[in-house]
Amino acid sequence: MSALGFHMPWLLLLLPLALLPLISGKRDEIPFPWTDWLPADVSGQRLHWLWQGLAALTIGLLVIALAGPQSSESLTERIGRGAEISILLDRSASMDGEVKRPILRDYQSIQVQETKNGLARQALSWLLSQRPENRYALTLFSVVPMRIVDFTDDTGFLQAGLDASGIGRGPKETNMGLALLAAIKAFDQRPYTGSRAVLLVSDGGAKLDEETRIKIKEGMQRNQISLYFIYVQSGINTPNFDLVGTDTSSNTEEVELHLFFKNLGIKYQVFQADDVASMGEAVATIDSQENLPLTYYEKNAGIDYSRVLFILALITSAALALIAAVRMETLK
Amino acid sequence: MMNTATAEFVYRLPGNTSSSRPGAHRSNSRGAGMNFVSHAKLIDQPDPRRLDLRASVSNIQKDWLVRVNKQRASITVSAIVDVSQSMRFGADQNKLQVAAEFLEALGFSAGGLGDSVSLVPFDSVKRDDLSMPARFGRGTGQTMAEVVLSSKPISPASANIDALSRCIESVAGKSALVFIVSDFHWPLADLARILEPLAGSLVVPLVIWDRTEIKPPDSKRLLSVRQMGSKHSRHLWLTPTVRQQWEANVEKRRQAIADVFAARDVKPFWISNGFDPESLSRYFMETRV
Amino acid sequence: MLNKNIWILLSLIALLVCVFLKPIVMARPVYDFQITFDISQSMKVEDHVAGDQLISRLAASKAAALDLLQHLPCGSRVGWSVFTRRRVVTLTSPVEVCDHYAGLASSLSNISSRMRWANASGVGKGLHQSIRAADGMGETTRIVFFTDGQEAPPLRSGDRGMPKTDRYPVSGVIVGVGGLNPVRIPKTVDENGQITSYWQASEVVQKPDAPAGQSNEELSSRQDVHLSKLGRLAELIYLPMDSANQLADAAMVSSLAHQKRVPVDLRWIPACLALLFLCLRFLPGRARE
Repeated sequence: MSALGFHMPWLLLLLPLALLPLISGKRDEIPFPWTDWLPADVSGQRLHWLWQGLAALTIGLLVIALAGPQSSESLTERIGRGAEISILLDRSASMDGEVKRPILRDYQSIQVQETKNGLARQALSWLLSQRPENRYALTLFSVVPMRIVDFTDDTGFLQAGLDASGIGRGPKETNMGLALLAAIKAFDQRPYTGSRAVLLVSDGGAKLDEETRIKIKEGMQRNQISLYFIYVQSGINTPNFDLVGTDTSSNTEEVELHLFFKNLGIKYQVFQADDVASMGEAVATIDSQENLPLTYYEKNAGIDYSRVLFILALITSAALALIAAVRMETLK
Repeated sequence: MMNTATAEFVYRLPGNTSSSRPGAHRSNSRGAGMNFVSHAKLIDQPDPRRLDLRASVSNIQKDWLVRVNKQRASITVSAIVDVSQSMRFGADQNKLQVAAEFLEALGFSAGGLGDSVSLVPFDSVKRDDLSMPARFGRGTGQTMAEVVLSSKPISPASANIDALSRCIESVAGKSALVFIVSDFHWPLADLARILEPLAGSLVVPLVIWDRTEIKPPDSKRLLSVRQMGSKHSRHLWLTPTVRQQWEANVEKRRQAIADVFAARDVKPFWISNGFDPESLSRYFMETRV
Repeated sequence: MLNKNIWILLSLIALLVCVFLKPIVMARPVYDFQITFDISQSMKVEDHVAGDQLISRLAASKAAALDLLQHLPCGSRVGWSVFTRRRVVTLTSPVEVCDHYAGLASSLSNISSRMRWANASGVGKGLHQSIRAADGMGETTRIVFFTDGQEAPPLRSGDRGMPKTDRYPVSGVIVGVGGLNPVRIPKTVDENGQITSYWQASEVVQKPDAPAGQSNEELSSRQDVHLSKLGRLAELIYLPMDSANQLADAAMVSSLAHQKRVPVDLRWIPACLALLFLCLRFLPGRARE
């Protein structure tokens, strides 16, 4: 799983330097006029090999350490609680609109102004910070879906994606059908490791044609995805979903979408959120519900082996120094 | 070393030399010497200064007798010197420097006695380029020392016994006294045989060893050495056992060299701590009476 | 004792330093880039030579961005944006490149012309928007803007199509991608990515003030003149890009860097010294004799 790599592999070209102690023997031995009368000594021979070996080893270790050996990021399988949540955030221009809620307080009409997008971002950031072990994918959508982040637990990067959705204005139109299909597609070809959810954050409904509906239904069921629809209310005139269902005469896009979702045959919940508090509530509910065991992979940053090698080199060179302390370099 | 007062040693030959050139050594030539040989008739040896009256009186035939003496002769001394790579080894003073000091003293001593000295160096071959024919004079030694010290070995290989043999052949019959100056770091097997041409001469082996090669160092423990002129190396962990073994091996070698020369009734002169002329004089005194 | 084993001692000391050396906080040049990709249809034109094949302008842009991402020092930050019609959509705001490398790389690979929400391209306006967005991201943020410079619909000659950017002190690089020869622009693409039709001259808006037949807006090439003019106006560097690795050289310049105090690992210095010392100790030289 964790392949060994080098930060500067070309430095390994210096590895032949480790042969220096092995070939410097001639220079490293004292010329002696008559070795015949020196006794053959096995321990001396072994110590000499140790001396050469330690020197070669130290040089080798240093070269390898300098080349920066590191295991590539490795993944450890862990089982925790949580979910894989594909966040589908509406990035159309209408989300840049402000939520206008006239509140009567102290006989004054105060306009609480906050963009819908801002609301959504705050709530999602809260979810990220509460549940960092969940895995999230982030897809922005307008007329086209834009996959920003594939499933990851790098919440810092997800946050950057969320932050970015607040910069500038988005395109005008929305195509929720394509977006939903894209969010579903994020689950395709992924092993089923825990509960799955699509978290749709939008301020409007959509008309979906029959073909798209079938595809969505089929994809949702195949991947066993639950769907959470956070409906960021545009104002006080938006429909109340709690009452929908009994009254089928309502034919606004939102209601139609709601009914479609409701009949998908999957776990589905809608939240009408119009301020930070209610968005937070919605997110908290999702958090508590998507809490099944989740197999996830914990990413271990690539291990830098150079420190270990430096310590080893320190040990071998200390041993080398010990031998050097008792080794004769001259007979004088 | 070279400019201090030159040391001198005294050497003498055990027997009589056949040389007739007047000098300091006993010889077989008759002449103006102090050693009485016999009486001769005055008529045969007409030198009235040598008339021996007492002998003439007691002579039955009533002849006038004169004393016949042996004269003292000078000789040629040869120094066969090993200038191979191994002679350049040494801690304070390399062995070649020791050899050079000896040559200087030899030249000075021989000059005093009126003897001539020749130098025959060798390493892996006989070094004719460095050889010096016999010559007289007290300064000869200094020249020879300089020649030896400035020499370069022809190859890093050790001295060769064939080269030594060649040197011996070149001095055989010419020199009454032959010094072989070497560390004897070559196989001894043929040594006795190649010394044969020197049957009539006194051969004095000067075995020069450096103290660091015969005595294990005691400062440190691990020693890596390589045989000069070869790739053969030895690595020693100097335990007391190894030290003893080393010293025993040196002693064994000493004995082996001594054995070769014992056959010629000669003891090698051992030098391992610089050249000491006095002890060389003592050597001649003690062994050659 | 000062012998060649002093190198081993020095090496040991250097290694001790190396092992206990903590990263030192130093001001290092880092770069914050908000990188915008033109994803309009003309970017699908496959006229960028990469190795021995032609790749689309967008693919070339992404390759260059990835190369830059790989070369940026840790502590630098990068964010992605896409642009088409008259609007820039920020996909991710800048994040640190080393901690979030995997996310940034996967996010980059997701950028495609399928994200296109409209079929027009107002390069000037897009540039203006990305400058404005970068201005809101903090004063260290620079922009990189990948485009081929194809304006659709075309501008009147002399019209630069970009609102004033004087208020925003944002520097950066405009990267011109594409070839210099006009090429047909793909119009529709099937599910497998195969181009099924191209824009025809009659289907695109031609230059309003060009003589008939002189305007070929259905063909596209890299608009160096237009882009360098925009670059001058917005005080950005204009880089006509021919290979992916040019960008890192052009963008990682001191004028686009800012200093950030980041921990720097300096262990390589004592480690190199230790290696050097050891090699000096064991350097095979001339054999000592």
